[in-house]
Amino acid sequence: MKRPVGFVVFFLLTLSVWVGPGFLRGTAEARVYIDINAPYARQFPVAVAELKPLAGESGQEAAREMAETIRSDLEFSGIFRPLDPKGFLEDYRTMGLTAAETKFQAWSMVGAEFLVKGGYTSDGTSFVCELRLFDVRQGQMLTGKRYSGTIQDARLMAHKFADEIMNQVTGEPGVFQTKMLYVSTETGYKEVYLSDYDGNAPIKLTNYRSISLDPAWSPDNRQIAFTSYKDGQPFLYRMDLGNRGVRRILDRKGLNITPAYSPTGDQMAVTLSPDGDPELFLVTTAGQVIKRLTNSRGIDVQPSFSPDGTKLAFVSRRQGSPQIFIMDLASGASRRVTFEGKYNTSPAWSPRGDRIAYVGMENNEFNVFTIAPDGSDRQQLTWDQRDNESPSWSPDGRLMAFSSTRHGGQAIYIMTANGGHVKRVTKMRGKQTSPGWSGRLWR
Amino acid sequence: MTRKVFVGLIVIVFAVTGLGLLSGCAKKELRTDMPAPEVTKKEAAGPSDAELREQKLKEEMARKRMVFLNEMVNFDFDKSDIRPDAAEVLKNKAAWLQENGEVMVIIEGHCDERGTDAYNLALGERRAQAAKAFLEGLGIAATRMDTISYGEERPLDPGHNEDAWAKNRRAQFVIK
Repeated sequence: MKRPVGFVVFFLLTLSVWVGPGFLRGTAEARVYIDINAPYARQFPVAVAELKPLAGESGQEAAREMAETIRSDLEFSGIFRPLDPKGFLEDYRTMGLTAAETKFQAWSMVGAEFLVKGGYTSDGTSFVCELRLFDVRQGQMLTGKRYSGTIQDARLMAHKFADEIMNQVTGEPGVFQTKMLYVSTETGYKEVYLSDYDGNAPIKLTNYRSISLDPAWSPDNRQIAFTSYKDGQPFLYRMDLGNRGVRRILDRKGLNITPAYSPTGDQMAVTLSPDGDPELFLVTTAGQVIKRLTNSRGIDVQPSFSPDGTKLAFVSRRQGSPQIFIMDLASGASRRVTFEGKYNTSPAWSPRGDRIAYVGMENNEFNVFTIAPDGSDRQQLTWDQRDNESPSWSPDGRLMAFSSTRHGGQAIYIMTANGGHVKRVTKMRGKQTSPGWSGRLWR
Repeated sequence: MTRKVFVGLIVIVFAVTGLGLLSGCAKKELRTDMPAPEVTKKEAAGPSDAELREQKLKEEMARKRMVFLNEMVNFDFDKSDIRPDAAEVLKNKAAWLQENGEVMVIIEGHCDERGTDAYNLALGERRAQAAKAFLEGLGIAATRMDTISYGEERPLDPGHNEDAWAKNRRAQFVIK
């Protein structure tokens, strides 16, 4: 979908006016507020220098990983463009770490508008670092943080600081400490995996050598629900992430699939088919049926709660083709949302409440779309990149994970809420599908 | 008897018994009427006619069972209604199930790879149920048929083209 040049110019002007006051006044408290729905908002070039060793030789690997992680996080955000450290003019081994000691002109020359600098000490086990964010044009420090822990914590420290950078620049903390669930056939079987949001440190949660599918987070991120054929039929299971204990919670005849926790945490919407026809049911997290939600001839499947828990988006074929519907849970009334395309599935309600992501098929190609809950303002996020499915929002609603076959195999990718800055997340053997992005709460 | 006639008789005997052996049971009567001692001695050492008949029956039953298992009920994309060709296949299945009244089956519902995993699980379930309902209509007891959906998880043909997809959209029968 192309927009006229005039609109772009108008928008950029509006954006600069919005952003303007802080920059014009040049105060250290200047905040830059980015509109995540602006498709042509430019990226801010940021220089993340290598961390300066403050004492001794230990911790170099961890320090390098920290800088790389901050760059990667900022790149995922779609708001920043990290610059190549090879071009930097200040020597990280001898540079000063305060604003007074920083040659801002040298950073300006490589195009940086933001600068991240830091120093660390480590005895091989412990790891202490100080990180600072500077506004290059103003020559001012915007924020500084000190973290201490072990060498193994270095990556987490980097994520924490990247979250803080987002907070400074957008007014909202980043999502870089979050986690990602997904299904992978790395072992030849579909198993459930958990990793950092960026794919780092994957953990295999199931080992059933069967077919395990569709993992979903509880709102407190302490449990997941998923479907598995490990006992011979598609049953629903719940795993406690603390002790990895698994409980079979639904084993009705037919399907026990597509779990979606309600925001209240004590209920789930699921798809069952006790009479042969797939329908939506509300159940407790222990698997007791509270009530039947749909009663239409034809498939009803794939529920997704609105963030306030009052509505449910779902897929229904009741009007002859799979389309997205929304049900008001209090009244039980449903209305159709998608009217373009003959095959629309996989609804995912944004945590911001204002958009629903879904997958539409056209000419045998699958693409991710978003639409307003009232059915207006349909936007296509992926094009001509083979099949793109299973959208899952980041907890701040700014980013979306999805599976794509664009490179030939099938892996998890992340893009911004308007379809920009696509970056690959999973790089393991086999195919990765069905991403589930955690919330912010993470111990 | 002249020597020529005698030789001629022997030739005829050999020829007929030869034909008899080749054509099996149908020629049995001819053989017992003909004095051909050497040939009949060989026959008595091999399988009897009853055993041969039973063997043929077993082969026929095995063949019919393979047909039952390998003949698939196919569907159109995103549909679970029974097409006319699928109806024919199901009629054959019903006939076999009636001939083999003690057999219990599992009807698996499958989809092609296109589309969401979860939606295809639901569609696979509808396909298995549709096949079962059709067979119930033909008099097969519901208690003899279990169903399970595998969605797009177990394709028959790993190809990524219309041919493969058409094969994968199926209800498949498994004997319990």
